Amino acid sequence: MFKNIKDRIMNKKRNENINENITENITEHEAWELNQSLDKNKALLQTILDNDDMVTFRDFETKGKASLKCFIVCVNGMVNNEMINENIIQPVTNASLDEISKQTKITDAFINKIIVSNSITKTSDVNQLVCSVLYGDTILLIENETEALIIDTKGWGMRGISEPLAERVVRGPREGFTESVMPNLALIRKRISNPDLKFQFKEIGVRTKTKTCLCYINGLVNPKILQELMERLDDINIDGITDSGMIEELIKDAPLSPFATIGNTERPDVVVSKLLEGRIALVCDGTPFVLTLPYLFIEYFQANEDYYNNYIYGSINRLLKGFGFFLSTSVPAVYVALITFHQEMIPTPLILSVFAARQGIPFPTVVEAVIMLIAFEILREGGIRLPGPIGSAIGFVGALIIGQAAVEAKFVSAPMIIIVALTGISNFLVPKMFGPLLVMRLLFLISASFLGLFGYLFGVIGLFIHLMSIRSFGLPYMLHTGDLKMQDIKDTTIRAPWWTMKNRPKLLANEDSNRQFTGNLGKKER
Amino acid sequence: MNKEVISDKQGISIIILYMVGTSSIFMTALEAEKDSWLAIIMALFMALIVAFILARIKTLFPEDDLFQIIEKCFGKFLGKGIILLYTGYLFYTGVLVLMNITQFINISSLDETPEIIIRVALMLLCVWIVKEGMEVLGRWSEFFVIPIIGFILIFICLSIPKMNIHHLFPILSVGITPMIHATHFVFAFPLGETVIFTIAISQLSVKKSYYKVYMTGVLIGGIILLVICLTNLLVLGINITSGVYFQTHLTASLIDIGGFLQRIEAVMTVVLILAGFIKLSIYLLATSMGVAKIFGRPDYRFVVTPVALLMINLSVILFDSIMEFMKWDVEIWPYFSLPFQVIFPIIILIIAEAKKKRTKNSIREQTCP
Amino acid sequence: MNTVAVIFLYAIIGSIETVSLYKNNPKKECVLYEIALLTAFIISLLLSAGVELPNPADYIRHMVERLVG
Repeated sequence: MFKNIKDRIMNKKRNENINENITENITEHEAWELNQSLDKNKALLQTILDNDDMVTFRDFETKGKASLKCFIVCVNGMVNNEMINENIIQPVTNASLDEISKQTKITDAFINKIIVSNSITKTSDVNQLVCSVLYGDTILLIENETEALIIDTKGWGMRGISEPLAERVVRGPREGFTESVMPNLALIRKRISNPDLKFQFKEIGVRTKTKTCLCYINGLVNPKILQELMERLDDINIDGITDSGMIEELIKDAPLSPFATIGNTERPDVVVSKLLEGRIALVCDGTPFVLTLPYLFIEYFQANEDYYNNYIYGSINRLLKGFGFFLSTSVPAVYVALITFHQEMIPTPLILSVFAARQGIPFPTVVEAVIMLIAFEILREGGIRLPGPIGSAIGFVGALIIGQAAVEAKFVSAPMIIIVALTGISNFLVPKMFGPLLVMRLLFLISASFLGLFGYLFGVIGLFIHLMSIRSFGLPYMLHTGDLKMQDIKDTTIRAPWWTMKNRPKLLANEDSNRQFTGNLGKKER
Repeated sequence: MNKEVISDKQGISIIILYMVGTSSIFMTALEAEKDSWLAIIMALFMALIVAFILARIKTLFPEDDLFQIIEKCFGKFLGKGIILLYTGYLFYTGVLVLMNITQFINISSLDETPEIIIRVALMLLCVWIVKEGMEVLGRWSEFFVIPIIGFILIFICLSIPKMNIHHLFPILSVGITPMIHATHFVFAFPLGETVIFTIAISQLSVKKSYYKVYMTGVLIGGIILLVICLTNLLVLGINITSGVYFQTHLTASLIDIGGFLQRIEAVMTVVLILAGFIKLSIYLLATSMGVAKIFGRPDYRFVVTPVALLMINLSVILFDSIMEFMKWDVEIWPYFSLPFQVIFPIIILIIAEAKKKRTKNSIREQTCP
Repeated sequence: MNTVAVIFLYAIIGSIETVSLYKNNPKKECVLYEIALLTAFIISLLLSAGVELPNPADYIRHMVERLVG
């Protein structure tokens, strides 16, 4: 059903010429190469970097009789000044080129003998030079040379590694990703010291040229999925990327579905465990949220803490999350269906007290439920962006005062407050699923208000048709979710002890399915 | 050609859900009175034979569905005629299933809601899943078959305290003729309906497992029906059983464990709706495939919605009351469905075997003269 | 009232389905679809207006009774 619409959107996107114009504007410079004359080169760079006060040009000369003129270009604030002073300017101005033989090229001599840096490249492509200057590198141009040196001097201020606020754990590593791609990659790399872990860079965004990095473990990853991902990333033709969420939406399957077919996390340990299951991670510069794919429905319920705590506790948490999912989607719908259509199904004492509480309420139950649910969402959205103390104050005002007053003013019934509160709290058991839960809850509520419990049941049937029909990078979204096979249940409905999970999830890892090479780890201790 | 491959387990799940479908909620073999469970056992044996025949046909032509096999066996012209008959039959049966489900919903709880609204809502879901294709249907069934069997087991276990073994005695008290009638009826609906799977489950991931899928599915489905029938008889006794339309619903509503475990009939209703939904979808799918085949179109998806709308229309025309419906169901249905369930498959099998033998011989003659 | 509901419903179904249908399918499919939809629409319209239509159940009953006896 969604495929047609997706195709239509894709076609529309391709037909738009705006993006192509952007590409043309920027690739105009493609032919530009460096010149022999230093002054001409400088003029060229100055015209490109015109009107940009952040860019600094600095001229200097080498020592000795045959002194060479050079200059560097860098962007203030993005570079490490100390490094430029001590490792580039000082050695170059102190160096004497007299003893260097005529055979060696001057640029090579600079790289090999003079400049102190672990990463130097030489190029004559002006485009590349400009790009690297703008990304915090320093370029060094030398008289009579058609090649310039790009020296890595990146050094901008960044946030320190801290615990991610959205994914706190009681037990488990407290490191979280930051907004810079390199430290993030280091966080992943230091957890997997294996040459099979591969990182591949890719630039996305015609204007922003955002660095993104594909991470996967060779031999575990499914090459078809990797291939598919590459193709989809290549298809992106957009002005700029400011967060990985944009990439997610541009490449995800089932684009109109509320459900995520690509996961995101701020925690390196989660990324590592996904990589070890044969998934691919996509790190994007400028955001701490790393995408992991393919993403299956069951991953909504798998928290990293389940794996570090005792397995019984982990399993109970897993089941609780499933129950929370059920409560959060269904409680208002079932309540409305029971009150409006199936009074005979409620035990008599309960129905009496409910109807006593509902006496004098002006609205039908459905309207009451919708109003309260929307009110809850308003309170949640209002409190979420405020600083801590004010946020909790809003919570108090909303929950206690407004709730109490609304019940006493006979605006809503007391049972409805309980229902909405229960719904709202169980929302937080599956924190990544807010959007889908909200949509499902309202749809179920509407269908239940038309056809009672049967309407609710029809809603559930429809939900599962939808879930069964979507795929994430070729894998069925509901893979292993309802299976009762021993191998699959170990990491779905419950979290089995680690020593029993000997194999990786099937289908994802097609080459090497052994997770544990010696099968007796846990048994020895018993 | 758009062919969807499903696994053995999914195939079996679909057949089980299909068998449990509408038949779990009302009993079919009531002519045999106390011995209706015996009638179910006999019908199950017959159904297994039919399933064997159909599996044999499918194994001879593993790539084709029944319609293609018919065309191959009877030629283009006669084949089209038979396909037309089959499509009409499937369409008509689908309407009966639809009416069955919505009548149950209407009578059991939503007596003020117009039936047509329930029908439209249900059909909407069926159209959706059929358009998504057989693969989604298979996955859906695989997911839901476990909770459904679990619900039925819970229902049976909780009914044990109310059972009375004397409700079954004396055995074989009704005589031969009602027994045969009852067997025929249970066979006609739903146990002998395997023929629809030769159309709907047109391809399995493992080519040779048609025997396994058809026969296991029919066997498990039949056993579930048998157990439900026995439970109803043991709890209600034959007098009450023959007096109501929805026996299982009544039996479940009698369950009361310690004053708090009540309202199990809601659970049984869920079973009926989930399984009945699959049953209806299978009929819609098969009918659409038939229509597409008659007009020689390779894909059936484009015609699903009109077929569904026509089904809703026919359901309005057919019967005015549930009494009329039940009467027709008992008197006419078994004879109407017999040719499609038994006679055509046997003829097809004979022709197919003859054709296969001839082609084999001719190949042998060609290869080693 | 019923007639209006029927017309409304078919209008919605028709407009939603035809767009994707005409894009993805050959002409023959579209024609078949329109014919089938029109038939369903006419029958629904007649039913909503309260017209008594012939009941196929009766024909099947006659047929079966003649054959089986």
